[in-house]
This record gives sequence, structure tokens and C-alpha cells, in this order.
Amino acid sequence: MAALCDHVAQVIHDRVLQALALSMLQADLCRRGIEAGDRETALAELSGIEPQLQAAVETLRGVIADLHAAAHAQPR
Amino acid sequence: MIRVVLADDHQLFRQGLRRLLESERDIQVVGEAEDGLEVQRVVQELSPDVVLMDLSMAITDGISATREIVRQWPQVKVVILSMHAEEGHLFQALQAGAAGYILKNTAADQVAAAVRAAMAGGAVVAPSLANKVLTEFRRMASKLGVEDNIGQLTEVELKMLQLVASGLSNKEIANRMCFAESTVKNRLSVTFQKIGVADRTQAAVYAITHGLAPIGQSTESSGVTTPG
Repeated sequence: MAALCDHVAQVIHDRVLQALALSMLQADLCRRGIEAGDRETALAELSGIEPQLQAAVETLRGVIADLHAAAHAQPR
Repeated sequence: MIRVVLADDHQLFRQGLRRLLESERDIQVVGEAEDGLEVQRVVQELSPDVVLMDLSMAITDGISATREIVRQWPQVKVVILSMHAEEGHLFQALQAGAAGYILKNTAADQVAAAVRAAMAGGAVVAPSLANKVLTEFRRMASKLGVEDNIGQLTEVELKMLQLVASGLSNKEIANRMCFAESTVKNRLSVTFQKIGVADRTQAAVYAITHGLAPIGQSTESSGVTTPG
């Protein structure tokens, strides 16, 4: 169980949190683009956010599946 | 113009950070590195004013790289930009000589502000972490007034304290030292009482501040917890 916890923590840290941090950064750059009237930059940053969030969602789904599998594998 | 080097193993984040900082009139990103060894080469080559440093990177981690940069090029200011909000990482970074510690989920404006503060000789610690620094400072300051109990520790207790500072769990310490986990738990309890700390975090800080644990000997290098 300890190994699974370490694995889950590492996956969330390395992939999910990084993706969310990058999305926040891109959202800020998008806002700056809008404020500056630079629609092209704003759209470019916006288009970068979706794959980051999609990847984070997929990663979390994998984590949930791992946790479910571990829970059912535990001896009662 | 403040000349900045970015050190982060996440290329997309590095690129986003570059776009962010280059929108600031007084900041120029002059170089990038993707690991702790490369950033030292880049600093040597480019002599930047400020390095924005991630903590968990390949080859050499951000703590070790910070320590080396501060030692070899003391005029260069290193600001940590990390996902890690744990106080162990914060204290290790400050011990290594970092001129700031901010989190990757911080508002983008704060990143530029931290760069400017470091350039001006100041320091910025993420507001959510600053209280941990103050709490620890108060605790350590009050301890300076009382007897230092480190001399009462046995060799085994000192070793356990080092392993706690490295981020190892009781079970991992037990495996490492060939003890039962319950033995580790009991002996750590005695050790904590001797040095007057309440928990593992305080014990880790105690070990680091008393020179018992090398600063670079972090959870990252032990592989026990997450890099990042």
C-alpha cells in the first residue's frame, strides 16, 4: 500500500499538478492577450489549455482505476 | 534589464514562463536549462542576474544546483519556483541560499515580482509558506536560549534523525537499520523528546539546522516521495 501511495503522490505531483500549473500560466497569458487586444495570442494560449486539462483528467482517471484495483486486491 | 535564466524540466512550463516574463519590460530571459547540472553551465556561460529554479530535476536537483550556484557565483540570485509546498523543501532551499521561494500555482504577477525583489537584494517567500518560516524562526530562536540536547543522542538516534530528515518513513528506516518498525517508532519518540520536537517535520528541520543531515539529502534524492 505504501508503494501505491508513493506512486499516486508522484503521478499527481509530476503530471496533474504540473498540468494545472501550466494551465494557470496559460490562462494568465490568455487574459493578458485579451487585455492587450492581441486576439491571436489569446487564442493560441487558450488552445494550449485544453490539452493540458484533458491530460490531467486522463491521468486522474488512471489514478482512480489504480486505487480501485488496489482496494479490491486488499485481503479483507 | 534583469537577465533571467529558467531551470525547469518541464519544457512547456518553461516556454510559458518565458512568454510571461518576456511580456515584462524590465525582464529578459537569456537562457534555459532542463536539469540542475545544465543550469550551472548556463549560469557560468551567461552570468544572469536571477535564476528561476525548479526543485525536482534530473541529474542534479534544484537544491544542490542552488547551493552550487550560490557558492560559485554569489552575485547570482536564485529564486525557487516549485510545486512543492512542504516546509522541508522550503527550509532546504533557504539553507542552500535561495533568495526566494514561490509556488508554481502563484499568480503570474508574483513571479515577476519575486524576480525583481531578488534583483534588488530582497527575498520573496510565497505568502502561504511565509508563516511556516516565521513559526520555525520563533521555535529555533526560543531553543537557542535553552540547552542544546544534541549531545544526549546516541549514535543510533543520530542516524535515525538523519533518515527522518531524508524523508524516510518508520518502515523504511526499520528496513535500512535492520530494526523492527515498532523499535524505530519507540526510539524516535525518545529522540524527539530529547531534542524537544513534537513531530517529524520539526525533527527534520532540527537535523538540518544542526548539520546532521546534508542539505541535498532530501526526499527527492532518496526517491521516497515525489519529485517535481
